[in-house]
Amino acid sequence: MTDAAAETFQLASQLETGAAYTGPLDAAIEYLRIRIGFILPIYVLAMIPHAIVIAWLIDAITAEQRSLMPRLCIYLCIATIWRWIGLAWIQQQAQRDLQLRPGRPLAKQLLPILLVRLFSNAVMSWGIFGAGIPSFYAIFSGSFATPLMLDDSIPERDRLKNGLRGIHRSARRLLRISLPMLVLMLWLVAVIGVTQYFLIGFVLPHLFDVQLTEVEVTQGSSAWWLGMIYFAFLILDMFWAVASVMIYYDSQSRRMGTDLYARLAGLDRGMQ
Amino acid sequence: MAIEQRFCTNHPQRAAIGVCVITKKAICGECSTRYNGVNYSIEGLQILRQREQAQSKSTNKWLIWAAVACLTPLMLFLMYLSYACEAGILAGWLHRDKL
Repeated sequence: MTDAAAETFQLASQLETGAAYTGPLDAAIEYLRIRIGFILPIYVLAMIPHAIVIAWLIDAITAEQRSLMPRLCIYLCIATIWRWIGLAWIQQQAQRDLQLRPGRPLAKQLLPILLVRLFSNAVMSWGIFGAGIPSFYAIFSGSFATPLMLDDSIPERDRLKNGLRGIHRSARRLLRISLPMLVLMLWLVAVIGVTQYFLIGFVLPHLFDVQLTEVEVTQGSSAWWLGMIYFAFLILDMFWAVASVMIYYDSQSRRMGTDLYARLAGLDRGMQ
Repeated sequence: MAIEQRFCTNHPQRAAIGVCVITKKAICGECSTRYNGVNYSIEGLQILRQREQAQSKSTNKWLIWAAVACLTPLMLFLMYLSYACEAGILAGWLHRDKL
C-alpha cells in the first residue's frame, strides 16, 4: 500500500467514525491535500473549455452582445459535458482510494453517468418551479452520479432507485451539509474580493511602486465581478467534486449499517 | 400394440395424467398445474416464471433505453435554454438602467 493510499484508508476510517455532518467536508479537504497533485491537472484539463466559454459569455453579457449569446450557450453545453467527464474521472479516483478496490470501470459507465448528470441538470434548472424540491434531489443525484454508477455493492438494476431513496432518507443531513457550502461560497467571494483590493489598492502601488490605474478601473466593472464569482465557483466546484464522493460514501455507510461510530455506540449501550 | 402406462416421476405408484411441456416429465394430477390450458410440473412452472421475468426485464430495459433516447434531446435543449435564460437575465439586469 502506498503512503497516499494508506492515508486515504485512514481518512475513510475517520469518515466512518465521524458523527458530525460536516465530517465528509473535512475528509474532502484532507483528501484534496493528499491528492492535489493528481486532481488539479485533471480538473484544469476538464475546466479549460468551460472557462474559455464562460469568459466569452461574460464578455458578451457585459458588452450586451445578445446576438452572440445563443451560439456561446451551445458551446457552453458542450464544454459542460466535457467538464462532467473530467469530474467523473476525479470522482472515480476518489472513490477508488476510499474503497481500496477498483469498482466498475469508468469507460463502461460513462454514458449512464453523463445521462444522470444531464437529467439532473435539467431538473435542477427547471425544478425551481416545483418549490425548489426537485432541484434539491437533482443537485445530489447529479453530484452522486459517478459514485453511484461505479459502486459495485449495489445491483445494477436498482442503482438509480437506491440513489434517490438514499437522498430522500438523508435529506435533512444533506441539507445541513449544503448550508456550510453556501457560506463557503460567500466567504470565498469575500476573501478573493478583499485580497485583490488589498493587492491592487495597497501592496502593489505602495510597497512595489507599481501604478495600476487602469486595473483599478477594471476592478469595479461587472465583468471583473462576474469573473471573480466564477473563480470562486471553480475552487468550490473542485472541492464539491471530491466532497460529494465523501458525502455519498458517508451516507451509504450509515444506511447500510457499516458506520463504525453507530456500531460502537450500540456496543456501548449494550454493555451498560 | 397397447399404449404403455406411464407413472408420475414424483409419485411412482400413481398413474401420470400428462407430461410437463417444459421438463417433459410425466406428472400425476397432484403434481400438475394447468396454466393457459397447458400442463406444467412444479419445476416447469419455475422455469416458465424465470423465462417470463427475464423477458419482462429485457423488455423493461429496452423501454427505459427508448425513453432515455427520446428524452435526451429534450434535456439537452432544456440545458441550453437554462443557460440562455440565465445569460439573458444577467445581461438585462446589468444593463437595466439603459432600458
